[in-house]
Amino acid sequence: MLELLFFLPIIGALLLLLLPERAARGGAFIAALLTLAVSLVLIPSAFGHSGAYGMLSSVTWVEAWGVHWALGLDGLSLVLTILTALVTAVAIAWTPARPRTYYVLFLLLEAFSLGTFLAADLFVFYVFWEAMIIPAYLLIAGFGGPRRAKAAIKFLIYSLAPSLLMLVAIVTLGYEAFLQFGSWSFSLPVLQHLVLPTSVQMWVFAGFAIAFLVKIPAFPFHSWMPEAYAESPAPVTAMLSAVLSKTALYGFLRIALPLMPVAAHRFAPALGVIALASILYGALVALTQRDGKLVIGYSSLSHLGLVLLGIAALSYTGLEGAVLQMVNHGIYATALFLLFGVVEERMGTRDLQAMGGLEARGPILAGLFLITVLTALGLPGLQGFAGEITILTGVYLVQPVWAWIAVISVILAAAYFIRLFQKVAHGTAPSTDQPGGRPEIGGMQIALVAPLIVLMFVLGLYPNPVPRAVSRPLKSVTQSVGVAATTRATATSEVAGK
Amino acid sequence: MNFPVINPLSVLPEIILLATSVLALFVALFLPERRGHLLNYLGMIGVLAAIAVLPVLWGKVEVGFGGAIVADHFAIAMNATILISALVAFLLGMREVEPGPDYVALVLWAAIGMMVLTSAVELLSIFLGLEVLSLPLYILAGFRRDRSTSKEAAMKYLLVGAFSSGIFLYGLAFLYGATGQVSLSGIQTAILQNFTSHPLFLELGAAFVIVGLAFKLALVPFHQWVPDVYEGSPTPVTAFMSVGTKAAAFGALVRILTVALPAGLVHWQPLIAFIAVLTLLFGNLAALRQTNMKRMLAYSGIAQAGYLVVAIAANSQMGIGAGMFYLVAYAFMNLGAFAVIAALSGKNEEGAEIASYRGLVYRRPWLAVAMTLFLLSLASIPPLVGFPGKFYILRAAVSSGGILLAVAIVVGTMISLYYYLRPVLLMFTHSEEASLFPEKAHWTAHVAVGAMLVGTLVLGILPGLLTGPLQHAVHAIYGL
Repeated sequence: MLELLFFLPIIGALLLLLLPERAARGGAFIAALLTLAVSLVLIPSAFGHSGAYGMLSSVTWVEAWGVHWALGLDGLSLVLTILTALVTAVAIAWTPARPRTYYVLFLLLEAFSLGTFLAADLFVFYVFWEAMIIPAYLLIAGFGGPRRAKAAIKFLIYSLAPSLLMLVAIVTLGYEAFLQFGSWSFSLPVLQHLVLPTSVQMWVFAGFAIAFLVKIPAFPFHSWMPEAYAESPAPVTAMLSAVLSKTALYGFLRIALPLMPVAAHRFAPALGVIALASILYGALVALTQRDGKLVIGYSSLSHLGLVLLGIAALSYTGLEGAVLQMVNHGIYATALFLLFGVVEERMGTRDLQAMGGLEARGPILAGLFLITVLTALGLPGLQGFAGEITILTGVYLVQPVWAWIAVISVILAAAYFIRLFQKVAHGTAPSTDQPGGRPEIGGMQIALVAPLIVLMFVLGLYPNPVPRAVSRPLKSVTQSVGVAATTRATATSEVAGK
Repeated sequence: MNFPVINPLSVLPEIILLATSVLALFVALFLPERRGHLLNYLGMIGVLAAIAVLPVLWGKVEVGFGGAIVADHFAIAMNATILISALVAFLLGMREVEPGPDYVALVLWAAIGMMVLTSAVELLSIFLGLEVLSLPLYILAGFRRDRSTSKEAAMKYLLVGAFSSGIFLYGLAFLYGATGQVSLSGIQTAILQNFTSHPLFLELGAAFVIVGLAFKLALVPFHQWVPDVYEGSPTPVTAFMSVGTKAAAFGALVRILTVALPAGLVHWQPLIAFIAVLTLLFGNLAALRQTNMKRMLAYSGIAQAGYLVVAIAANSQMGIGAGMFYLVAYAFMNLGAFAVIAALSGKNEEGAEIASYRGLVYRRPWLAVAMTLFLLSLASIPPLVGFPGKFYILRAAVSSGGILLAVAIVVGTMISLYYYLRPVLLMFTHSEEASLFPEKAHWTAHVAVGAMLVGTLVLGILPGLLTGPLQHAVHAIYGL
């Protein structure tokens, strides 16, 4: 069943090659919907088992190297799997009539991202982590804006080069398994039992952390981000921001923290500083950007910095908030990038100084955009707030100063997001406005974005399903990191009550 | 006088190749000159027949020529790689080199030399193999007599090659002088039993042997001939040379260093590790600046040889296994890349400039996609064969305590991303230029590209297919 989840998009991609060109979009959408359906069907099995994973399937891949083809599903991978499937389904059908290659690459990107979230063996994790970069690269290089070539190669090199450090870290873990258990292994449940000397932990943790920080991205490893986000087509940007960045944060939760707990404690202050720097830097740059898409891009940098801060706090509540905010960000960032993509298409520009008048000409589009913007800036009752407040609570309990600094970003977020909306919606329509085009959003696109909007309200008012789903995996993370799970604040449920 | 037992089975593949070459020369007498390319098919059949007998020999350890030649698992595995590169040389040679009896015979003889080199376990037969492989390659490098670059390549190769053979022979003489033995196992026994009167000569001999083979393996600082020769030689010959010679020299180096010279007693390991790091860093840095595809692959080949030597420096069973795996991986992806170049550029080599690959995917989609996969594999991106190869070597380096070697590999690979991916980007960039590669390639070139692609993909996804057999080859070296 887990294999099905991974192979469905791949089979879909192969079948697309047989379909006629104009049926490609429909075919890809169906494949993405089926994948989403399977991920929903798997919900009960994620919690079925008493072991580390609710569901684990493992086959020997390369016997001589101790490598297993192992996929595992627990609450943590489940929520991110569903997120990936949902975002892909919406994004893939968003733009009309692209060449078939586009949809094939999109489905491959989905499959490899799912593989990263499901991998229960570090070799498998690495293979997908790298493989995922190739379709993303080709999507940017093949379908991006005018400066796509440079953006694509920058994305590629920034993504691949640090991953190689991670490869050395993975091999080192396998060797440690050989030294301690007598046989090479890369299986996460096995590596869980390693007792690593601190020096080894530090090196290995650093290898993983650098690869993850570049992928999120976090300041100062983000310099690939502006170009890649700006030049990609809107649905691809949505995937980069909503899904690919989560694979890195997930890596912290799944691999770096539980396997190298001592190093996690040693590195936590550094991670915290990087997170705070990302939060503030992202917010300040977003405030001054003229390119609307980059306002959203830098807001992502800031918000994902907050997630990283929650992880760096190494408290249960911090981790809980981090996962919740990962899901939230995945949903509202997708909606932001996609809706802004429509606005850009209609107005023929992304320059905020030239944009305007959306409210009068496309009230439905403006309304949807407003809801999304309000979610993103953390309005209580909507989805973004629950995650932010949980993270801030978790951080405050451990590092009050961090929390105080991070709160500044919440204020700044309100400023840059409201500025973004004002520039787009108020004022007069730009001269570059496409004269023949309809100013309003299409019916199909409303239907596609509707589930995201609904989720913004549902998870805003009742976020509990996410923390509940991830409670067992996160408890085991906090156990390995050595933080008592007793500090668990009930912030989430309190927030939900308001 | 005592004549050694020859045992033709030990050199059965070599005999088949020799018979084919003689047949080709003989048939050529009765063949009109413009039908010369038919002999290429004869060469292919000969190579395929030699490949076909390898499984028969697998598992039997045939010793021949009074113990000078051994067709053990190691030799057979290396010979398979060599034969594949010879096959590709024929598949690609259809149009480009105006093949005649001389081309076919020279490729076959060079292949025989390479195979002898990997099966040789005595100093004399080792040197014999090295010379038999070198002489035909000198001629092949200059095969396009109408082009001055080709002539220049041949001359450079000859001078450097003769020089390195001399140094190598000197090293062998030292080893013999220090131990009084010619067989590799005899030298080992002598060293272990402390029969060496002159440890200094032993160390010198090891160093000279390493330097002599470093020329053939294109290791820094003995690499200067490589870019010119790779660029100047006809592409099929370059492909053959870049893989076959490396396989042969790697085989000889592994045999001499691990069998004859125990690392604890003869201190070659630091030298090898130093050369390896130097090679992979220099090769990768120099490749960054290339604008010609063949030169770029030449420098990348230098870097790849550096990874191979890291595997030897690990000085462990795992290291030898990793090196052999990497060699097979390198064979598939590198031969594939050269096959695409040959299929694109036809007779006049006009298409070897990287800039001319712009927009290739819109004109020759199949070749462009294949080239993309070969380059990604060379950059060791999963799920292509270069990745498990790199993984295996890292694994060997880490487990022999060479974490710095592992870091050097990673740094080298990071640098290589830039130059391997730049042509990929160009191929996917739209261009308005008129089609640059008008000539249609011969169908056999497409067969070569396809076959190498299958190898790159299948072994990339299922590396386990190769690790098992290679384990036997490693055991053969360690006498297990």
